[in-house]
Amino acid sequence: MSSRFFAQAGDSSDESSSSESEAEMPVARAPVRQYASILEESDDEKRVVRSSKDKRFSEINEAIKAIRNAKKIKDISKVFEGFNSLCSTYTKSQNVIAKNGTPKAFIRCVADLETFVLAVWEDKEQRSKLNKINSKALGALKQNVRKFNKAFETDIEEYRKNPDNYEEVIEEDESDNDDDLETAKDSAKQAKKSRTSSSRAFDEDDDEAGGDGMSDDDSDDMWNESDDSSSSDDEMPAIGYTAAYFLKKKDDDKKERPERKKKAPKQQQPRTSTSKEDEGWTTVSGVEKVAKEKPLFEEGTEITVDVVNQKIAELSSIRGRRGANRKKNIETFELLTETCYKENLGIPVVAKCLYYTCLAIFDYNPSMSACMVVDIWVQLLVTLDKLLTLLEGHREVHFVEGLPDEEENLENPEKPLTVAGSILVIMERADDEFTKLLRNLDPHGTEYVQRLSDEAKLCVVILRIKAELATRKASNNEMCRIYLREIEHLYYKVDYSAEKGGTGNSKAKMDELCKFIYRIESSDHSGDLDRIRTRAMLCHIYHHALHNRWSEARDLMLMSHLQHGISHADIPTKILHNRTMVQLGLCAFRNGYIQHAHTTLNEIQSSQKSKELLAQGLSTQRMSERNLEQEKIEKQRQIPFHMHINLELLEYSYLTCAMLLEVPHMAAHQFEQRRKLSRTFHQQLRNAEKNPLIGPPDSMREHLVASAKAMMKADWKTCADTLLAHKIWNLMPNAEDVKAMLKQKIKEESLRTYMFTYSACYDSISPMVLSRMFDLSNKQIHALISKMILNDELKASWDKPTDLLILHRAESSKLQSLAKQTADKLTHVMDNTEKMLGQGTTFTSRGNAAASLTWPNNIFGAGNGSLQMGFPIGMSGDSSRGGHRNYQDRSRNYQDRSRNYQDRSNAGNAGYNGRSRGGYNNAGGYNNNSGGYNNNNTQYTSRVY
Amino acid sequence: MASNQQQQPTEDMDSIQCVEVTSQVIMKITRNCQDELDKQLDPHVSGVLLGLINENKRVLEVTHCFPLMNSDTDESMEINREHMLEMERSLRSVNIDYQQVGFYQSTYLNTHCDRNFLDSVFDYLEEMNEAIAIIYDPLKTKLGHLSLRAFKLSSAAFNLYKAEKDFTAEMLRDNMVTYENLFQEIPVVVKNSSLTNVLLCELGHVQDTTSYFTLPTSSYLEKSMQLLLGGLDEINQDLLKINKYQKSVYKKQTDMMKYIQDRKEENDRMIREGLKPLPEEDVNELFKDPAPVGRLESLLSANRITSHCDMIEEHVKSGIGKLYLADSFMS
Repeated sequence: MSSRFFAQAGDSSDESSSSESEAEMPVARAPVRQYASILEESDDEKRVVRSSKDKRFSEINEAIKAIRNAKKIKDISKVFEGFNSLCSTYTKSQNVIAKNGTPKAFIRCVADLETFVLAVWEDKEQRSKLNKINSKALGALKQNVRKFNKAFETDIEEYRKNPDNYEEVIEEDESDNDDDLETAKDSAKQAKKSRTSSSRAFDEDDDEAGGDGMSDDDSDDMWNESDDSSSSDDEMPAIGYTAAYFLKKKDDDKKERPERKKKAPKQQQPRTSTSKEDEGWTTVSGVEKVAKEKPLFEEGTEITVDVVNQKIAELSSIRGRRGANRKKNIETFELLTETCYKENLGIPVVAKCLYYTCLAIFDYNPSMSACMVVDIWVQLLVTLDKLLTLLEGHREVHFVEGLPDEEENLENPEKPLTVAGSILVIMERADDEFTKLLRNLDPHGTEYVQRLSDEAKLCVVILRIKAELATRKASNNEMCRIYLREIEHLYYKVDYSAEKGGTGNSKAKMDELCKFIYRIESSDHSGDLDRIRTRAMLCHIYHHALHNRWSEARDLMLMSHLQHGISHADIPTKILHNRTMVQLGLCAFRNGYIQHAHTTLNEIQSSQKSKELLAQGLSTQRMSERNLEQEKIEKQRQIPFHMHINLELLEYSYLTCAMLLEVPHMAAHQFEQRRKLSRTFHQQLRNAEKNPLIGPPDSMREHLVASAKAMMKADWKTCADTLLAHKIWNLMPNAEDVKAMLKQKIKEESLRTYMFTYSACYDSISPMVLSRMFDLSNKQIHALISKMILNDELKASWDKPTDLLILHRAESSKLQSLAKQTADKLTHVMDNTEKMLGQGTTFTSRGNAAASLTWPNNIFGAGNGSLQMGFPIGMSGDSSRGGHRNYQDRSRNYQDRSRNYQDRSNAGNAGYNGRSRGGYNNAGGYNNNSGGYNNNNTQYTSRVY
Repeated sequence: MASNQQQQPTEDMDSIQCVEVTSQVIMKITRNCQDELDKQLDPHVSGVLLGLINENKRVLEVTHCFPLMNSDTDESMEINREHMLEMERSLRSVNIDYQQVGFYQSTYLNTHCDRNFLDSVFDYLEEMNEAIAIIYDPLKTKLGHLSLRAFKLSSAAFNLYKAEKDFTAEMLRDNMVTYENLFQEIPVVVKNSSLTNVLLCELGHVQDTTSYFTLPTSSYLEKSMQLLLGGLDEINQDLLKINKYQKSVYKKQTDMMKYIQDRKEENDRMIREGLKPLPEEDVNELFKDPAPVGRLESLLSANRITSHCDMIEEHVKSGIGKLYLADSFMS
């Protein structure tokens, strides 16, 4: 009943009276007032009755009423507006009208409008009095109406003939089809009356009702009714303030719904009594609320499924409106649930009520980005729990997603009981809200830990829903979704039992969950399922990596080909991918696969944006470039704190990898500016060099730089001590193992560095010495050095009889490398020149345009034959033969010679090495000079010709 | 001397056969360069040469010189100019040759040959036909070889440069200017007074001859090689530019031909249809020649490369000889 009250409150015109009445109201009525005011604050829309037919018709009626009102006060522009809205509504509801025929009220309205417009138009005197806007509107209106009405000519004609007929029909129409127009109005007035006990307000009310544009009969009728109600004020003393209301209602029912009238009084009694007694399953406060508040249904209403349904529809129609009291809304739904329970309306209805309670709780927050209040979230969880318990108890009730409300089956036990909605969606949102909640809490506070303990409850709910869905044979998609939720609550948690050597059940659990998802064939190749699979896979890999199962994690990652498609994924999946990659890298690091760890982590670390990439905080840099909007979005993506990967540890691990790889690399390629393996590492080194004073290492990076410096000197002990001194390693799982591994690696890489850097100082070296120096076994030394020899990194050989490593000198001096470079450059120059000449010939062969002809001539200076290009290399001079043929010969000649030179220079080096050992280094350089000289000589000789 | 300036360059350009430098001038240049180089690392030390032209012997006599400040800024250039005028006046008053016959400049591994140098030489030549530039290499002197070379712009290059600051390939071809004859080297003769000669004769006995056997250091060679590499890079880049230019020319040609062809067909068709043919002259306006690659820079770098090569050759030549000598001694 209060549904009617709603509707009217929305559109009735008497704000003033209600506010007046509010002022007069005693305190006890506070909740009601509040309630009423919510409704009045809400927009002018009519309530949405779900049936589209009803909805459309009510819209039309609305427009008709607006027109009538405006006509009364002769506000032509308003009439015009109303007419426009009527037209648009009419076009919108074409399909409904096609089904049900044109509503008669509509015909009547347009016909009346036409007469009205014509009348005003004819009345010259009055027209001249109209203000500018109105007269303008009148013209437009007249034209439009005429045009519009053409379509309904026959109907209008008929109406003109017997208007009475139409009027009656309209009454019927309104009362039958849509409760809202008349009955709603009535009830609204009753509501008003009930609130305003003073007759003055009542009078006012009625006056306005008269002005509402209803036909005279109507308003008279109303008057009478209200009269009745006011006179019977004292009939129900128990609930004083609603007395009028109920009486009035009864009148209503008498007139329109006779069947209700009979039931109403019966209904009243139990309603009041039960509300106080039979509520074992709600809190006491709830009971009190019920007692205090204006009941949801007027006493005397028979609470049927339909009524509840209607109520729900109505309540949900005000969802998300400005000014609606959301808290109140939740309570109302809870009340409704209780009522349904008490009235034994059947499980489906209760389920539906609970479902809508959840929705109302979600609506509690005005925006998606803001997080829920903790209490509300807990309430949500409780409600969800209730709903679930209910469903578990009644397997016959089904939630069907996307089911139209009309097709719900809440009562009929013959057919399967269905409720529109999806419990899965509710759960997913609850989960998301939980994440949001955690995100917004201070991660270091106790509150966070408290909240975190709720996760267990949430997980239980998820598990229960999973079981429910499984028994109900939900679709694959839904099953996958629920599985994914479970996975996502599981994957980042370390299974400590597994770590202690026990057979962890989390691995088995993950395997089972993920494999379930893998098995589902995405028949329709829906992106949704693909996404679920990708995420499940990433979580699976993450979980493996977290538990040090490197080979499994790597194999899964490689076999899944995830990396190919990840660039097309959505951002949260990308973030998950990044997290997985990082975890994989760390896993590789812990297992001693330094190279793998480095390449895996490099991607994340090299950009210096690891924070952003892992969604573990907003990066401080480029703050100015980012606008607020972006920041907001980024904030929404953040991963809650308990899932974070320690960035410091990540960076330190990465840099350690980089150091282990880069330092020997640098030592091996001292003179060449080779590609750097890790830019970040070099950056750290450079930064450290800028420091004027180097103190003992303090920060993580300083530790690293210090140990890298030690490693460059092949001082493995200092290196290891400094590197491992940092306490961050304690955060690493299996810290001791990792440290031991690192120590071993440092020894090995230090040995390599040493060999690269200082091998030039030795003619031979005993592996024993090396073994002592680097605390490695003879075997290890042998293996490492043999590997270096094999890889061509070290020019040396083992001398078995003496057990010595004989080193061969092969590095070239600076001058020699310069000479080589020169030779390279010369070949380059020559190639380019030949290319140029080649093009020149093509020009000459075509030789059709003036400009093209210039080229060969220009280049060769055909006249005197000397090359204008002026290369001192074998192509100048010699004018007599001219032409580039000659040049090419020459250049080929040069090429040969240059090759020859290179050979010779190498040979020279080899030959000279023996001697240079005797401290004749200078001469060593010199020999090469002669090579260089030869080179130049070639040029010169060719010049001399 | 005034008459000298009025003479036609064509007659006069090749008139000088030799530059006679007095030992006093050499000492002064050496001293100046040494002082400056000790003070700062900027290798460019320069000064003005004074003297006169002996037309009978076709010899340019350089009898005096004075240093100039490093003229990087406008301010220092102003000071230099005033200083030059002042010196000229002062020298005239003590009856010393005051005519400017060129300038001297220090060099570092023959890197002097750049655009600035070309400009300065050109400026002096414009003022006076016989002006020369003396290049002094302090590094070589340190190694025991006095290096003093006199240069002037060849007449062809001079005329070319007068006409156009950036050479095009055609210009070079027409004027037969190559990297080799861009500058013209004039032999330098040290001329001493008899008294000085006597002194030198006496000093000659004291000279330590063992220093001839020291081997040239490899660092010198390394640096030369590096410079050579730099030069090669420049040449290479220039080649790439030319390649690009060629391509664009080629493209232009083909486009043009295609256009002409099309136009021709169009015109034939129009004539057949009795319409007025379209003009064919607008081809040249439609297709612009791409900007040709300037040759000057590459000419200069080629010149530099040559001098580097010369230097390396010279350097190594003596070294090889000494090595063989040492080798034979050892065996």
